[in-house]
Amino acid sequence: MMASKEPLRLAGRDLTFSRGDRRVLDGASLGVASGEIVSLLGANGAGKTTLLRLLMGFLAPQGGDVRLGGESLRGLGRRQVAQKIAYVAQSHLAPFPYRVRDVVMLGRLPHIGLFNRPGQGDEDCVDHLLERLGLSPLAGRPYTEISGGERQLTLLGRALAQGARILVMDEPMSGLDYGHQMRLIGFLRDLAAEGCGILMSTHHPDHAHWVSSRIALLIDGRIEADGAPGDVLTPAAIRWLYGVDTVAVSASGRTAFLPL
Amino acid sequence: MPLPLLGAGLGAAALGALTIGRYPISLRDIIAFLAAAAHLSALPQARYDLLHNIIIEIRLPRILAAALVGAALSASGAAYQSVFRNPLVSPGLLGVLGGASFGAALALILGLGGLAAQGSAFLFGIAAVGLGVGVANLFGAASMITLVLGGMISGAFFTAALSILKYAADPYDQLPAIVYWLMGSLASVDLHQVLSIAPPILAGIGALVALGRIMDALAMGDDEARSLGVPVTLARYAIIAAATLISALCVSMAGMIGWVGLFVPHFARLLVGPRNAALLPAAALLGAIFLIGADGLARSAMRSEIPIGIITELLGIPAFLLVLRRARKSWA
Repeated sequence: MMASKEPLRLAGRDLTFSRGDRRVLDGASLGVASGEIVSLLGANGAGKTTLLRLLMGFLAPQGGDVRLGGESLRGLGRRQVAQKIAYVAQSHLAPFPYRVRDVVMLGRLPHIGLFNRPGQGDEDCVDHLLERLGLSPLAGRPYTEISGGERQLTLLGRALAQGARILVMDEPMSGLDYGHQMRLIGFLRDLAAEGCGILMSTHHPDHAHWVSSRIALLIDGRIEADGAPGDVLTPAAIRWLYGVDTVAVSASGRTAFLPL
Repeated sequence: MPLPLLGAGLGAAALGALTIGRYPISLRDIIAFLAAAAHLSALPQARYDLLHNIIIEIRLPRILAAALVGAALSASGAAYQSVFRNPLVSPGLLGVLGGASFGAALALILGLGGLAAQGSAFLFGIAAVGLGVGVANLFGAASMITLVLGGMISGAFFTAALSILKYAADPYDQLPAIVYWLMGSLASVDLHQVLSIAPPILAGIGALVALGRIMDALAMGDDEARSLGVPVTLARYAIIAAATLISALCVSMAGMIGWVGLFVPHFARLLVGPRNAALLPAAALLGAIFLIGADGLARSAMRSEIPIGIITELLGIPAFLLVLRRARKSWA
């Protein structure tokens, strides 16, 4: 699916953003490069979604800048960005019963152009993705009538259909059952191995510790730590993030945090 | 693909509607007239003139007007529903109906003629949406929710202004004219008017169809549409502008014709699914068929004509209940 094998990096530096009197982000710096999985941890209201929205260019930062492959995001057109960065949102609205296949096809929009019809190449790409994500049997079903886990996979399919090298996900595991969480994690690891850069916010320290190449901690609008999971994610960090005492337990080369 | 079927249905509805009216005209008469008009066969001149008068001068303009108004209100309703991500939205959401009513009433009170009332209705319909959008922009970025609020405020303002006009109007002469206008009617349209209003309406519907894929993306949410490369604010304004233009044209020609823009898109969605590239043409065709039927009823149900706005409301309620029953499960 990846358009090119050249490394690509999305990076925000010293980003500030205020809403009214409240400073949501206060000089936050965060980046993701192709092949990486970066997990962003932070308490509710820490500014994770705002930071992701700034990095994708949905909001303009009040200070600092965002660069994609060395170019300022502001100078790039929306369609150009859409071919390089795909987004899986946290809360998705579904007022109309679009079919699973139609939703995935929407991901081809940046390639087709806003006023053109999909071509055979687009149809093939969508078929391939549906197959890969195990959604082929659901292709004709309204995505308002499938399970939350299947819908999340459908939205991942739409993001992959964009052929983007950077994938931004806002709490992709929220609302998924255990089986779907594990399937999603499996897909994310495969995608990273293929050269996709994944940046996701999450509330699951265990998941983050397991799949991430890097973990960043967002506390009070600043990135307070950013590094390898083993270095960053410790019981002390979890206490700082969430005010919860935990103990790290390791088995079979994995680490999990148990609340005390 | 049900679109050719709907197209055929529209042709059949139009033909059928040509036979409806006080003077009996059969399908055979219509065919004979068309053959004579194409110089394929001959009719006695008096008969030909009579048929020409009834078919071309009297019935055809109404049928064309009904088709145009039905198509435009349904297409703009479908577009509004996508843009506002709400299946219960109708083209009047941003205040176009309130503004147009006020505009028409104002012209009638000033003693101006029908054409001035139409122009005034059109302008105030556009102005009301402009006011709604302007109010929305006072609250910062024109998001969906601020647009809805702006539309409510604008609509309320023009409804109040309309009440003032009604209160001030001469109760023997002007007030009935206003009330009748508000009930909606196609009785006064002539062929020239229909032909002059057709190009902008068809262009507006065409523009909405061309924006269909963008509407699909907008239906996913603003941020998601942005992530798909859609310039969200610009796209939303473009769609609102096209939908407002054609609904203001309709209201100015035909008065208040409610419900069509709300429930016809639902029917169309049940037939062809929610993808706007298919939904908008289907809604337009279905709306045209429905309004031709409603106008046929308006002309023939009673000895004197019933305002078509009343017919669409009466028919619209059961139709909407029917659709709600079918559509309910997809909202869960």
